[in-house]
Amino acid sequence: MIREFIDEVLSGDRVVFSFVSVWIVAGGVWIVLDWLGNPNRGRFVPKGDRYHGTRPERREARRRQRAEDDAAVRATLRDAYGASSLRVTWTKSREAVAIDADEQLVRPDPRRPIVSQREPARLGTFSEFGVEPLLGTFDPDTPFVVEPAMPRGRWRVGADPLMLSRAGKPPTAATLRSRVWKNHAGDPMWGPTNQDRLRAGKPPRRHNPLTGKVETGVVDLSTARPGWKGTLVDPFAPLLETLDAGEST
Amino acid sequence: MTAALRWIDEQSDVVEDDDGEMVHAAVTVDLDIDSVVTIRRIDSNADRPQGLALDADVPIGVNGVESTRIVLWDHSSPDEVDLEVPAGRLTLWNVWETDGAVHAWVGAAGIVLDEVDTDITRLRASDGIGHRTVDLEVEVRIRAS
Repeated sequence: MIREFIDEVLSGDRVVFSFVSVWIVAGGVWIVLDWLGNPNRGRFVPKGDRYHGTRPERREARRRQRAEDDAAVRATLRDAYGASSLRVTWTKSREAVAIDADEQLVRPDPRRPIVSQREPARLGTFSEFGVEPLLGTFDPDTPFVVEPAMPRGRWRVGADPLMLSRAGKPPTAATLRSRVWKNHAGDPMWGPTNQDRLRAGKPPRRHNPLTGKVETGVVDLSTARPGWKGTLVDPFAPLLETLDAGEST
Repeated sequence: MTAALRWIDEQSDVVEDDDGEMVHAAVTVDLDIDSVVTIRRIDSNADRPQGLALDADVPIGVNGVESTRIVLWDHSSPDEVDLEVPAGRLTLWNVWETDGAVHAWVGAAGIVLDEVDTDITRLRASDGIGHRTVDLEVEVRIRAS
């Protein structure tokens, strides 16, 4: 049977015809798949943007377009952050500047502010409870410079426990607790043993007669105030304070 | 060594100081029947808010408020307060406020008891700051309701 197939089909001119036919069909299939699979083929290009020229000219036009796109990206980054992320000069310090700029939502003014001779107008709300924290100062003679709400840099004992890092990162909960306790180490209320713990950044301890156990102090992470677990209700407090979930002890 | 440290070391609510006085962390009363507890404030240190905290098994009624844990501050409560306390265990201790936080049982804190009358007990309490002093002095009177 195989011999008959070879003698009748794969012999003479038929072999050549079969070989050519297979390649023509495969080529046709490849062209159809390529046409259907390429989304850019047949895309809409406005008439004014169509470039008519020879193939080398079109290739050169595409290369020039890509170069202009890259240059535009670099220029935008350079304007925003003072450096382009596409260049090797992108460093940690430049990244910190970029993050700061993003957090402040304004571009830092590289010019040094001119010292005004007169008192700048203070933006604040005055009430019987005192002056609310300022978000910034306004002086028409100087460019507007945002004042950070929290100091930044290397934290030392006595500084605000919520102080941010140089790059503007807030402290972690553990760091905040440690800072709060270190700041309270000098308070004579805690006694010598607890003061040693506080100096090491550890919470103070006390004997709770209600539970019969030794418990440690806690830190309110939002206000950075030390305290203890549990609440006490003041029945004679004004209504608003009573609704404020009592006090901790 | 302060009483607060000895309460931790000796795992006790009461210790005897050098003067022979028994220094309590808190005072606990077991009430067999529903009672009226009258708290009369005699004196308090004006340097910082001083308060008498009360903890009960069941809610205490005072000034229209019911809670199992209340505090009578010297700056907000009257000098004499009547508390309706159901039968059960009642615990009293002193607290004070510094830097916006309420503290107890640390530093020089401690309560010394004086029995004035059969149904009246006087509490001389020290806050934790400095040496043990009398920063809050109250009289507690308990009678059946």
